[in-house]
Amino acid sequence: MSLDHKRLGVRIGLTALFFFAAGGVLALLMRAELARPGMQVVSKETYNQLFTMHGSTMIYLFVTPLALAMGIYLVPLQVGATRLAGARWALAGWWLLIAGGITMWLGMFVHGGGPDVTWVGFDPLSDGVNSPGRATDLWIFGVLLATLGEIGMAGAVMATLLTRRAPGMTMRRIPPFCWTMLATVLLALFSFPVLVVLMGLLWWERQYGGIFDGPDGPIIYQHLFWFYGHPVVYVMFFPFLGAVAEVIPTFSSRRLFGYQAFGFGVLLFASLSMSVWAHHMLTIDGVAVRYFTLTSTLLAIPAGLEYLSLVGTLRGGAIRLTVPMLFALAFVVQFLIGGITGVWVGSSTLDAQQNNSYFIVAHFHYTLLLGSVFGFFAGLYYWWPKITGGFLGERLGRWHFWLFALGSNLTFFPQFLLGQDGMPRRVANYPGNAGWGTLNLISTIGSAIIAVALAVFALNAWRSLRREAEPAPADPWGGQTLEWWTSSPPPAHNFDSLPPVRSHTPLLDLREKAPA
Amino acid sequence: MSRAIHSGWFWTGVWAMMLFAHTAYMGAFAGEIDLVDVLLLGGAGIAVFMVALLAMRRGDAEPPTEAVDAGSLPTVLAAVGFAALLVGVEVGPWLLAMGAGVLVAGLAGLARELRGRA
Repeated sequence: MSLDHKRLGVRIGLTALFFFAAGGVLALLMRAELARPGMQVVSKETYNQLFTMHGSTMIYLFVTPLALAMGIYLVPLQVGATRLAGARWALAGWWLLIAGGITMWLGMFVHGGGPDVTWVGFDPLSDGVNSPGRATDLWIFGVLLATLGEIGMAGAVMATLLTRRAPGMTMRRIPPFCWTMLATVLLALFSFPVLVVLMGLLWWERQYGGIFDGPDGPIIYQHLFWFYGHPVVYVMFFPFLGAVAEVIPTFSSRRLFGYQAFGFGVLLFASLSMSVWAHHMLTIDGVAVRYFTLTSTLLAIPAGLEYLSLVGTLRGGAIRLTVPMLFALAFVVQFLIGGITGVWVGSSTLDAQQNNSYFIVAHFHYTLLLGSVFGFFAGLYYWWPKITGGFLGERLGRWHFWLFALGSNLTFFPQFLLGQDGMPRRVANYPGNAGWGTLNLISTIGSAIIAVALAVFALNAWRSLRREAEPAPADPWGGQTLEWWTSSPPPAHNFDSLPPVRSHTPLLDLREKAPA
Repeated sequence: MSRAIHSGWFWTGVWAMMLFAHTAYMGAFAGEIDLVDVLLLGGAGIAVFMVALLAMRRGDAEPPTEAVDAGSLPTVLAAVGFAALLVGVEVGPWLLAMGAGVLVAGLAGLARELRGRA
């Protein structure tokens, strides 16, 4: 029940990682089933439940809260605040997240099996006729509670950014990570409430009908869902982009190239991401295809600005290839693959070919796992000394990195080829004569390597927390932002003193002014 | 303007304007305008704009130095009570009643906490 933002951030993060493990086990089961044609591991009904709960767990309970947890821990430290504004909202949010997660997972154990309506809960698939029983109702309440909790967390971060900045820390001097958090919480605060309302409506529809009954009902459902469902992709991306935008300058010993353009670009990116939702519906009649193709393609402009900032920072820098830097560079390369294939499926003509194929699965895993999760690990290895007061081992960290990079590319790159060849998503089986067996087997082997990589990380974290690692000083990396001014880990009140803030890199300014 | 550009409300307002802009050119590219599309995006823009106005009225005041509560049991009770109340609608009246009781206790505790700080 602590209101200390550091404890809250760690606890929300640990909760999210717990759900990551749970969702990961479901993914391994799915990959085991798909390793060979035919049904070997689970039934088709169980497979439907597995991918529903895998997607729901990863989106609602893992990546989104993890992104917000990073903001809750880091934003007050980076803006020089003594505490989180609205910490009670964040605390309530954490408990609502836990309650939502438990409720959603309880559905797996009720009579008749778990929810099988996909993480989207498509109507009429999810209505009372097609998906009777308590599992889907519990899924609905789980999603609703978790999302309400995330809104509370986002509100606290927003209030901190607007009202708790230290003297001198104007908006044009907040660190790059804070710009990405501002974009994140704007998206969360103004798109997540639509999902909360939608889940309420879906529950009502299941009990009494009359909400999505007409011929346009399912389309209205999809509009409302994707108005949440696309921005959330960026909620699950921006904080990790922000982490990478902190890691790359520090380990290149340079300021972020084009800082102002980066901040403005993130806001533009976020606003466009609010206006592309129906590109998930491009194959449906009556959708404004030209508009949503245009806005989806325009996303390449702010994305290009961010990439220019990151790559421009590397140019001419004194690069140190530490573990956080390896993860950050992998993020840059791998997210590019996810991003470019996003332009591909954002085109209405190309999407007609790829829609509902494994190409889509590969695309969004390249953005979320090979992008966001790599960005998360870049940030985690970077801020670990600040959070725990110790280091993660470099050797195990490199093993973690290379295994994770190998495993995730082996898992998801073959899925582009499978999708191109026409393998549909959300299937438990495929014909033995389709020629998809080898690529599916490679994909399954890759998923096992991911599991090994994460076990290596768990071992590394355990050894560090057992204090087998050397204690960390306040600023072990030569950081540029205020969190590196205070001790590792920081005291309850965050700072005993603050340096003058005259740019977004106050610590680098001090070092440059100090006599050699 | 030169001072405003350093404020949080200014950038929130800028973001609202971006949403309005994306809503505005929807008409040019969408052909037939779908009311749902306009309401969703334009509505979000209006909501963001209201928040920017509220933030502007409050201003970028220096952060106050105040006593920080270490923890808040009533907040936890209120959240858990609310969750139980909601899930109780599905599970049964026993959970609904328990949830309502815990929620009321939590809210009462919160009111006491916040009154104590005032």
